[in-house]
Amino acid sequence: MVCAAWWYVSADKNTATLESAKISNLAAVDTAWQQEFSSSTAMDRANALDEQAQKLSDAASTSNLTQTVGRSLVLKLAAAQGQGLGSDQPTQDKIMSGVYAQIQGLSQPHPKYTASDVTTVPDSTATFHAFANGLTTAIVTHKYANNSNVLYVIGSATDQNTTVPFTIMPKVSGDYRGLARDIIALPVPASFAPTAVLLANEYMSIADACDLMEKTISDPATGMAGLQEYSLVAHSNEADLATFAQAIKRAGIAFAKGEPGSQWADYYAMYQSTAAERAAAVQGEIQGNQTLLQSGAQSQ
Amino acid sequence: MYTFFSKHGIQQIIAGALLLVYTILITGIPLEAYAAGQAPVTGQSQNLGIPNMKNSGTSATAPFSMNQNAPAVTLGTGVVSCLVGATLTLTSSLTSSAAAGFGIGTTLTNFGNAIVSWVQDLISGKTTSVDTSNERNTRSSAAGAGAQTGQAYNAGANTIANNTSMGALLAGREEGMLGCIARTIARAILQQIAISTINWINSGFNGSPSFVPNYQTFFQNAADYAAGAFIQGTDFAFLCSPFQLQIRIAIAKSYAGYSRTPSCSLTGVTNNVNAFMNRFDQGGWQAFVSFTTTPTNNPFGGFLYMQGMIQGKMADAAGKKRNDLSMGSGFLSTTQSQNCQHYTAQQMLDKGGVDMAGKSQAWDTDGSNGQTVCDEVQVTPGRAIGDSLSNATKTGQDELINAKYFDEIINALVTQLMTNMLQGGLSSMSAGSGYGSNSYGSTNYSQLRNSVSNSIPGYIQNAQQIIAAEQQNIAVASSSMAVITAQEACWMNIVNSCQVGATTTIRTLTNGTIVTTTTGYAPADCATAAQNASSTMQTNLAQAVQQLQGIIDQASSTIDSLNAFQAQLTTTPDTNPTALGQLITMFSQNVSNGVYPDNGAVNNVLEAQTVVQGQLAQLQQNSTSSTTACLAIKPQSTTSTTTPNAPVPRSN
Repeated sequence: MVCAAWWYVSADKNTATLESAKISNLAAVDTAWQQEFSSSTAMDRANALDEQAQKLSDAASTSNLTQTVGRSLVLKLAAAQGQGLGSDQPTQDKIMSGVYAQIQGLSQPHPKYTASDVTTVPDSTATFHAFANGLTTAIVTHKYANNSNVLYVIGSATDQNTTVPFTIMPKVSGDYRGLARDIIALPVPASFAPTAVLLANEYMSIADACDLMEKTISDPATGMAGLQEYSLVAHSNEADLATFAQAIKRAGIAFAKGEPGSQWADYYAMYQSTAAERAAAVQGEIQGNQTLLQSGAQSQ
Repeated sequence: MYTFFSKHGIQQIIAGALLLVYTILITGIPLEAYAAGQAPVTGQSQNLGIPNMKNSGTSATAPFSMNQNAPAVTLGTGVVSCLVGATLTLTSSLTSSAAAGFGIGTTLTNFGNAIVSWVQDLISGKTTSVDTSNERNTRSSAAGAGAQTGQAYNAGANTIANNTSMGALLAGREEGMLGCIARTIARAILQQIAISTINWINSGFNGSPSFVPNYQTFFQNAADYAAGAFIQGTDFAFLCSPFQLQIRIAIAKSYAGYSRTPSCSLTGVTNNVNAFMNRFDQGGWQAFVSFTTTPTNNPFGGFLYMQGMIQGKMADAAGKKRNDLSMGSGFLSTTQSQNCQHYTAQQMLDKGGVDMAGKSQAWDTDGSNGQTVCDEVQVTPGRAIGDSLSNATKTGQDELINAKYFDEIINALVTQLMTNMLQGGLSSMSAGSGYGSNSYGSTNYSQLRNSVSNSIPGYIQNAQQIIAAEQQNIAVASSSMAVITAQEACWMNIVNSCQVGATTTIRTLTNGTIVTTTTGYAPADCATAAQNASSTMQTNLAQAVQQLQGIIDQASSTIDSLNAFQAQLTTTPDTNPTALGQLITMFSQNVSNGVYPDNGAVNNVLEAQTVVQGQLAQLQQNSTSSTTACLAIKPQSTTSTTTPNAPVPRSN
């Protein structure tokens, strides 16, 4: 009791003495501990944990991307957690980029045709005319190879959560591959050779994307990768066809009424129309944001 | 501009879903914080310590708008479809270029039926016309001949535009078909990742040979690093600075010893303390008092306190991953009583009993013979997680449904995962209701009490079955004992007769001849009797009966013990978790040690009963035969005659 009272009375005055006493006495601690501690938490061990997580991820991977992604993330996040990380953005970005690479590996288009695969003919009005007609015929002939079918299949499958609509997908992807082959088989004016290769590869990629989308119900991550690839490629394809249509128009290639190539003018018009709609949509978005900002500013 | 998936977007889909799993499995977010009834706060994940998954990209950081009136896109229900939702845009765009003769001027009002026939017709190659009767189609019909006839969209007027009309499909960006589909798939990804991962863990990682042996090492390493991170972290801020380094080192040393070679970190700390103690003049009384009154103000207290914390951290890092949550067996399966109904004894009689299949019963402790009967549902934390995920996902769907733009869909996915799922999901798990009151978070003694209490009648019933079985064994053994006793007495009688003298001699005088008749067991019979007269069987049987009686006594004692335990359990309130915990622990230990007879013990007894009774029946039969044989043995008589010599006349 006496001690406690004395401590209470004199506590404030003697703090510095106490601190210095502790420091001076405890500074003599065996520094080998520090070295051991440092070595035990060395970076190489942390790396080993990451490597171990990667190995386990590989071992735990399945043919189902959704499952694989889930397992991989559990392990990698566990490894990060073991290093006191995981909740910080750089670590999450690093982990997510690794996982994203897994999906990207599936959704990346893989070109199958090169310039050497096409038969080129000299540039001329006649060859331009013939190629435009041939390309149109190829596209129209492959009736399953169209965006509406792709989207109706994937849309109905996801709406109904059933694989039934996917029974069509092989026909669709098959037609896209057939379309690609037909394009490559066309006599291509030299100036349009890159376009022909580009279009053929795009249709092959769409076919690949259809294959991936077929797995949407059982493996939605793969389905999503397919949808991603399809979306990107289909947009590119739309623009590339518009570029071709514009080139035909600028080249002054004329088509008789009812001739397949006559559709290119309509297509280009439609493309410009939808571009205008896009611009209007963006404009509306901007206006919406401005309104939002203004209302936010007024409420400040 | 129309990039459908941003890199960050797809990352966040996956990250969001996995962070859910991650948070449940690894981080060990203190459930108590949620159990306090805190409402989930959408959009405040950072403030709540939830990892910030929002990327710094431009697309995913904008808050998405909530429109409660937006149509619901529900996977698998077909109530509202991506196709129907997108058809207006599609039709509008396509009909604007009617001159091209687009054939997609259809609206699938009766989508559910139409799509089936559509698919069938596509398979068969038949041209299909789908319902064209509504307003949208009217617009389409007015636009061109192709649409007027409801031409099939897959054939017929196939054109370049038809094949490449992505712009038309996406022109209405807000509810474009692709956005709708992507939203639906994104939700499916979240669900499947979460559920498949949990199933994977629940299944013991599918027993993968290459995985299972290594994961333990992996998680142990994770625990190592959790310890390292802790040691290096800021948790030491509360310590007085002069001790900080030393304690940190001591714990590092201790942990190193814990995982590798034995060491004496505490001794090391003690040396430091001794250094202070040996130089008392350095701090004097003030230092002494300060040193001894605040636990974390001295190395001993600090060390022990920190060790406790680090053990907790290690448990979080390793135990939560490996034992509690990882292996399927690690999930503590529990039973949950549902639909409980109380019956008085009279009610039970009136009802003619209750089918107890899949039910538990708990007798009233007041001796009234009333009982509470409940449906027993087997639940596991894994199920709890799944259910909670399901609920949380459902909650988050609203956000998914209402996201206007695809980028916002992604953002919505992350947001709903980070808030609704992490908070709502976990809080619902620790809410003490439903599956949530399982082994996560603070111990739910009430449920444990019910679980224990409900299991006691079963053990009592088992003990009673054992008693009944052993009593039957004893009854049969007693019957056998009588037969064996009679048998042994018979033989012993012969043996005794043989030993006493073996013969009875009777002499008679007939016609001057002495006839001597000797009666006794033949030596061979004596030998046989000696052989069969052993009391070994009787002794052994008596011992067996004694053992059976011991089992009965033990079972009776167990019943008494269980009844007493039940009474004690009933009278120990939830407000005394220490006592309740001790009771439950004791019960669990007794169960583990086989003190309480489980169904296996009953089965063993019943199987043994069959064997024993068969043996006793055989024994009885043998004894009866032996007794019969014994009784058949009769003393044998031998006769001999002796003629006395003629009398000699007297010579006087």
